[in-house]
Amino acid sequence: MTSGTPDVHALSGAYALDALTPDEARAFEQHLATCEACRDEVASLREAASALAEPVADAPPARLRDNVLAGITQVRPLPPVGGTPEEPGEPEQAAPQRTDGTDELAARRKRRAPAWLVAVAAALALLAGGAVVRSVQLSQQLDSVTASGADIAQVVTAPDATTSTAEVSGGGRAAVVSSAALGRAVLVTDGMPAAPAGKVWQVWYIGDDGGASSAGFVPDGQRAAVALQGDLGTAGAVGVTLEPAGGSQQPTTEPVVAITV
Amino acid sequence: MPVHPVAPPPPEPSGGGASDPQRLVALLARSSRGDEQAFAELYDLTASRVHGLARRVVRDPAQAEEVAQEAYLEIWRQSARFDAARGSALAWMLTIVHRRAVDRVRSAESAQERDQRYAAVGDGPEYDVVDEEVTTRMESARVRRALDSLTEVQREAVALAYYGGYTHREVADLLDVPLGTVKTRMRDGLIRLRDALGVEA
Repeated sequence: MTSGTPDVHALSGAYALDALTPDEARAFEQHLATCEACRDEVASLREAASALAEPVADAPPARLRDNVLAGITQVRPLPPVGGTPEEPGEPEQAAPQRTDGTDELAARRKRRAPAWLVAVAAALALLAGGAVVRSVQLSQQLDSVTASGADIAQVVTAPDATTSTAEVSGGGRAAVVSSAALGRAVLVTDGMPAAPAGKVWQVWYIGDDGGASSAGFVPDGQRAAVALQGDLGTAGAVGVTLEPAGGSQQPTTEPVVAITV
Repeated sequence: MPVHPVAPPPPEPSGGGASDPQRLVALLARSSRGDEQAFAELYDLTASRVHGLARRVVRDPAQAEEVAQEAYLEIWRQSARFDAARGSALAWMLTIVHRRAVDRVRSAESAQERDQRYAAVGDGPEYDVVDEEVTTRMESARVRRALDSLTEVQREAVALAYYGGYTHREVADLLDVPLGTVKTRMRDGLIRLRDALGVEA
């Protein structure tokens, strides 16, 4: 092991300690895919490394348990990956599973409830409560993002992002995070009742003249976040109305919430 | 610095708790089918380790809680992808926690914080055990004894990487030794630790 030549096998220890940079780790994982001896060694060294957590064990505050157990009710476990066991932390497979009897829109919304979304909502709930959440922390919570998640991350971490919140009539709370510089906004809901069967919660940009343009739909879930479609432009507010499945061209009901941005 | 066990060496850890590997495997399997009760039990059996590790690496209590929470959500989501043939459930879970913790410290910190982190880690792990179940204390004493089997420089390299969250290049810079030397110390150190613990992969 004292050879000066690059020896990829020798990286097993650093890899098991998570001491490689992401690029180095990816390169080593490619090697692992073809080297059973290294796979076995890494597994045994990981086992040893994880024992190092024992001496620093430290009971968490009770709220962590509450938060974790509330969080998992919002997220569905991923299906197994047939025949290809994964290292933890690897990018997940896309897992579009549709439940019977749902329309395409609902199915699309269902797919959009990964852990980062819960993290965003939790972070924004903190924001709404007045606590300071640094954007760096927020972006940290968004490290496993989908395309739509990347949009959300971009908005909520924008330097000029501002947050406005309002109560939803009928229950729950909603917040709009908007960036004038980007011309984008994100809607976050917490505790909004589910739309009745055959209906959706549609989101609107409301202009100063009272005109509304559709900005998307509120995803299902106790806590949900969605990057609004279209340009924030001169919209003075974001509103949510109950509409028939598929959405409407213009609002057909009174808004349950309207948030000035 | 050598690390000494605080208590007489107990034999092997008793069954139960997170020291019962099969229990954790069964709970992960139930979790993967959406069993929230099983996940709550899994949490109770592992929370001290998960939180303690996050706390040790990221240090800031609020951020440590966030890391632990995110890690548990990831464990829940990925539970179907745990493969018992490739290691214990606890190691799989703690790997997720550790990766998230090091990601957090590596991207969030300024150079100054980094220096402080080094100052705090440089002497090797602190063993500020606060409040855990008996099996954890016994395990902990066992791990400390196993750590004693490492050479000083091996222990230093392993601790800077695992507890400090440093990359091997950073460890090489901090210790002012060649990268190859650090790689070797990490690997040899973990091999000694593994052998002293009697770990089977």
